Formats: sequence, structure tokens, C-alpha cells
Amino acid sequence: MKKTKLEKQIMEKIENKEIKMKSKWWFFAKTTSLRGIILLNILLCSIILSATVYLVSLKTPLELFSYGNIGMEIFFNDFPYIWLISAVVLIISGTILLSKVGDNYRKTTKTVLAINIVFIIIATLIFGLLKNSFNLESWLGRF
Amino acid sequence: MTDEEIVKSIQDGNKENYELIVERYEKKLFFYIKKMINQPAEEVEDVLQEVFINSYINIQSFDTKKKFSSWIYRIAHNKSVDYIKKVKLKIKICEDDDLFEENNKLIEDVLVEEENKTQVFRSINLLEEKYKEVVLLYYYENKSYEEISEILRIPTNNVGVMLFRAKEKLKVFLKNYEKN
Repeated sequence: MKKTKLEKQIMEKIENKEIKMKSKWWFFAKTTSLRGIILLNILLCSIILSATVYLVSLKTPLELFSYGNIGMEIFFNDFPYIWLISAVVLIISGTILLSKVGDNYRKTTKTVLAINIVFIIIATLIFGLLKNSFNLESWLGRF
Repeated sequence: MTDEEIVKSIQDGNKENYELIVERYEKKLFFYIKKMINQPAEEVEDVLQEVFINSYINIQSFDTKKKFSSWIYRIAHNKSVDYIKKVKLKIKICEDDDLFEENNKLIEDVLVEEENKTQVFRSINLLEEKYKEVVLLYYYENKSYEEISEILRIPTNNVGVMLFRAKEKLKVFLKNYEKN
């Protein structure tokens, strides 16, 4: 069969090594890095969530509400907003990254978000069980 | 030999087999890109060449358990969208006579009279880009929901919803044409 102009151009470029295919390992490294970042994201988010719960119980216990307006003012002034905001940002970024892995684009954003939250909850529970080994309380005492 | 088998052999080092891929997809992708960007043949050929180059460079990332046609259509779609963004065009579906004949399914689906065929294709150009892309792939390229989902990277369920909405919008546009 007679070659078309485009076939000739493309095959010439391949033969002359003007275009080279990227190696399998390049793609493997790319996928693995993305998965690694997602894993780190989940771990970091679980640590931050554990820290948020701990700081709320330490600095702004719910009993403050029984002191009326002053108690509420103290609660909202001392609430660890930055930790909570960080956790939300990590949940959103984790969901975006997770939707780029494998066939996850087929799933709706809600489903990917739910999967991400489930992973974070599992990681947070594991972290909660191991928190004594991490000495979280003395570390967070500095904040 | 299936597309996936050819790709496997290319991945294993038989680079010359890439010619078979170009041969199989040159025409199909030419018409697809032409419909997407609605530009002269030379421009379409440039985009097409970029598609084949990009596909060759990234061929090791293709999972041979999946459908190759969806993968290469995705690249063609992305390159066409890049071109459209670069020259700030709107996706405009060609009103070729041949296409009217080929796409009776669309005419049936939007339930229009024979004499309104031309209006259907004009109305497609009034649709938002996201709907136009789905209509183009479903009616012109005969792609399944699964394939459209892979090409456009959208959830499979959304494909059906978007097609339904596109048809509803087309019906409204056509009613307005009739009134006017």
C-alpha cells in the first residue's frame, strides 16, 4: 500500500530519532510520585485532624458554652481555625489528586471525595491508636 | 492484528509498526479534528501530525488492556482544544452534505421534520462547548458512553445526562427557529 505524506513524515522523524518515546520508567515514576503525594496528603490530613480535635479539647472545651456569652467568646477566639482550614485544604487537594489516578475520572466528584474521606478517617483512627508512640500531646503543647 | 497488539509490539521495540497506527487512524482523526476545529485542511493536518507525534512519545503510558482508539481520540481531543484555545475559536461543526446523510440518528432523536435538517446542524453550533463535544463524539464518531467517558475524562453517568440535555436544548433551539 502506498504511504501517505503524513505517514512518511512521521516515520522519517521516528527513524531519524527526531522524536523519541518516553521510557516506561518515566511513566512509572510519574504515577508512583502521584500516588506517594496522595498518601502523604492523607497522612498529613489525618495528623492535622487529630491535632485539631486535641487542640479543641485542650484550648476550647465545649464546657465553655455553659459560661454564656463570655464562654462563647473565648471558644470562638481560641478555636484552632488554622488547623481546621489546613485540613479542609488538604481534603480538597487530595480529592483533586485522587481523581487523576487510574480510572477515577469515571467516578463523580462526590464519590472521589467520599473515598478520600474514608481513607482519611481510617488513617486518623490508626493515628489515634498510635498517638502515644508519636508523642503528639507533648509536641502539640508548643502550640 | 488488533490496535492493542500493534501498540504492544511498538512498546516492545518494533517502532516501524507505528506506521500501521498512522495508517489506521489518519482518516478518522482527520475528520474528527476537522469537525472540532473547523479550519482548512492544512491546519487540520498540522494538528493531526502533533497528535501522532504526541501519541508516539507517550505510547509507553498506554495500558494495552484498554481500548487504544479511546486513548488516541483523547489526545486528538486535547490537541484540538489546545488549538481552539490558541486561536480562540469556538468549536463549530461543519455543515457538510455528507454529514447530514450520515447522521440520521441525531435527526430522529431530536424529532425534526426532514426540511429542518440544516437547522439541526446550525443549532449544534449554538450549544455550549461541553455539549457539542459529546454530541460530536456520540453522533458523528459513533462512540459509546464508555468511550466518550474515557476521551473526555468525565464520569460515564454524566455522558448520558449531557447528551439528554444537549438534545433538549436542540429541541428548544429548533422550536425557536420554527416560530421565527
